[in-house]
Amino acid sequence: MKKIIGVLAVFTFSVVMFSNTDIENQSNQDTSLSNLLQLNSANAECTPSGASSANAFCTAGGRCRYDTTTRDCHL
Amino acid sequence: MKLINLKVLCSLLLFCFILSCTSNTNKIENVNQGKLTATMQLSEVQTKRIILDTNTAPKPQYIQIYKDLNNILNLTFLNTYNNSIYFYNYKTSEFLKRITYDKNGADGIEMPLGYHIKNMDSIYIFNYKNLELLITNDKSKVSDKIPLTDNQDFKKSSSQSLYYSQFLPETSNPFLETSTELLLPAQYIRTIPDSLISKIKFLERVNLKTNELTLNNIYPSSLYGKNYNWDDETFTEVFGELHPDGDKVIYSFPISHELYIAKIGSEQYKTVYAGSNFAGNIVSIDKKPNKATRENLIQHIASQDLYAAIKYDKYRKVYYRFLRRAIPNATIKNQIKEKPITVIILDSNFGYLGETTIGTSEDWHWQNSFVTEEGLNMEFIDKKDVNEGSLNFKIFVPKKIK
Amino acid sequence: MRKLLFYTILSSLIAFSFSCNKSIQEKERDQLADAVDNIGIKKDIDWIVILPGLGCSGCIQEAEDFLKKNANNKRIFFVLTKIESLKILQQKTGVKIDEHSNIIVDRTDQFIVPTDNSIYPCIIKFSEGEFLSHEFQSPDNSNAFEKLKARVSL
Repeated sequence: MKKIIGVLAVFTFSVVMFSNTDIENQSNQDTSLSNLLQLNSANAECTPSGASSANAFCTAGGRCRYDTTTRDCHL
Repeated sequence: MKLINLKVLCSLLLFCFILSCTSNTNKIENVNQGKLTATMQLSEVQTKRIILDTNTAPKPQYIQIYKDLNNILNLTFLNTYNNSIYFYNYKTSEFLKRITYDKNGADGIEMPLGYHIKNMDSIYIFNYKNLELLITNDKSKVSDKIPLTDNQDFKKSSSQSLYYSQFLPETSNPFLETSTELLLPAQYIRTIPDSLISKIKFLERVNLKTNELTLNNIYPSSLYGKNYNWDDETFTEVFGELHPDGDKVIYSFPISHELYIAKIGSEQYKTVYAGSNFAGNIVSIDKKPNKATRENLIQHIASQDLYAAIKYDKYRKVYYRFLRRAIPNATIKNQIKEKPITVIILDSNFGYLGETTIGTSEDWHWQNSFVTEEGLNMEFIDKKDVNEGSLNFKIFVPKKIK
Repeated sequence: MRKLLFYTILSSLIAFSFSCNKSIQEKERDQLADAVDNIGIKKDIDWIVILPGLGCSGCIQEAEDFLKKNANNKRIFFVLTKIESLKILQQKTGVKIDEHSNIIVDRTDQFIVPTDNSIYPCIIKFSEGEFLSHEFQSPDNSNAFEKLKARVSL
């Protein structure tokens, strides 16, 4: 009986832990090796030239709005 | 010892399980759903077409109807592609002139989102880039800057995003001019944490004489408090309208069936029912903000009834309140633009008169709606106009249902 | 003791398998591969660039610049989606869509991926009519177009 409870406990714990893992929300990652090597090069950021590249949130309607906590897009 | 440990472990697990499953949601009921009787509906009476130049597309960023010194009613709009305000004769649709602003430099306006013409020497333009209001004239000169934030370095500092609202003007949610002030109904960009619900003020008031900025009005905690997830401007945009008395503002919150009325400068709200006969319960997102994906958000918006603009028609003494209807059985394939648009007609005391569903947001750009003597003007998208050659409006007036 | 350990590990593995959803990459690839099949791509196309009209404005500007400079490259196929105004896009880029057989407008939203990446331009690598890989120009992957520019100029 104790053993069954023990196993069940670990099972439930694992389900909870893994289903709360942020798999769904992982940001875009390009996984090819050549790209990993190039990540260090100083390339233009995803912003128009001369911009201050402040962090912004992309709304459901597809607009970028200032939000220092998010990096969906830049303004 | 083993048994005690197991019990502790089990209860801990049960606790974790419960915590991860539940998320605090707000359900805002429509107390009058199905109980209202309609006596009026909107009837289309006129079409207006304005021919655009090669640098202008339909769905302009912002429109203002302005009576000039010659008493001619101008239809003006902001063209963000060439940074200009265009002026047309509203009655004849004839092009009058345009004022083009620099993007950079001393007279530069980098990201204009809306404007308010007081007269040709005082054209207030909201520049989103620096969250500032610029005072300009018809010679494209900038004479003054009014910051709408306390923090000059708001782009880097987290305090701007966290504690302040942002003004995002639309034709149907415009600058409101009183005899002494310009009122800018702004909004909080993300969902409001409960710890900040009494700190975030969304009404920005600019004194026309001194350019002084005052902030008022907080989001009602019964709607937006308790960490309910309303994480998008679709839920947090505050639509404002001046009460015909001139001393009060009327707020339409997208998630409330009621309208909130406050004396300008006062924090006290009076609420009045102003909902749709067909709107259902409005529910917040059932996941925590960092767990909800873009798809979750879009589906949630598509499947809810969400209110929008409130406009007073001084010619017919009625109010129009916009509603973005829920798409029945919305799936992740449904887009927000498929939501039908309904206009609710209210009398001068906010009594229900009726409502009319105009069409979907794909065909009706309701964000560009305004009232003239002719009626409620709403921009519609002419699918046959593939070259985007004209700006089109349909004009509606409320008529008694026979 | 061993049996307990065995069952514990087994149950953890079973639990893990329950929570494995289709990855983001797979969801996107499925959608894009379907959309590409529907429109039919010629075998000589090496790249497909999806340019959304709404989304990360800075990233979209990179894509518009790329379109401006590469519209005549017949080995690149362009898909324009969520476009607010074709008239203005054509003015900005100087590209007349009708005159290019390698540019289409996605009017049925087939090319909008069902993930958070729908706001970014997408670059799909093709070879002999086969979908090889895809990536997005985003704040986290800000040199996608730079890399593509280097490869198409070879």
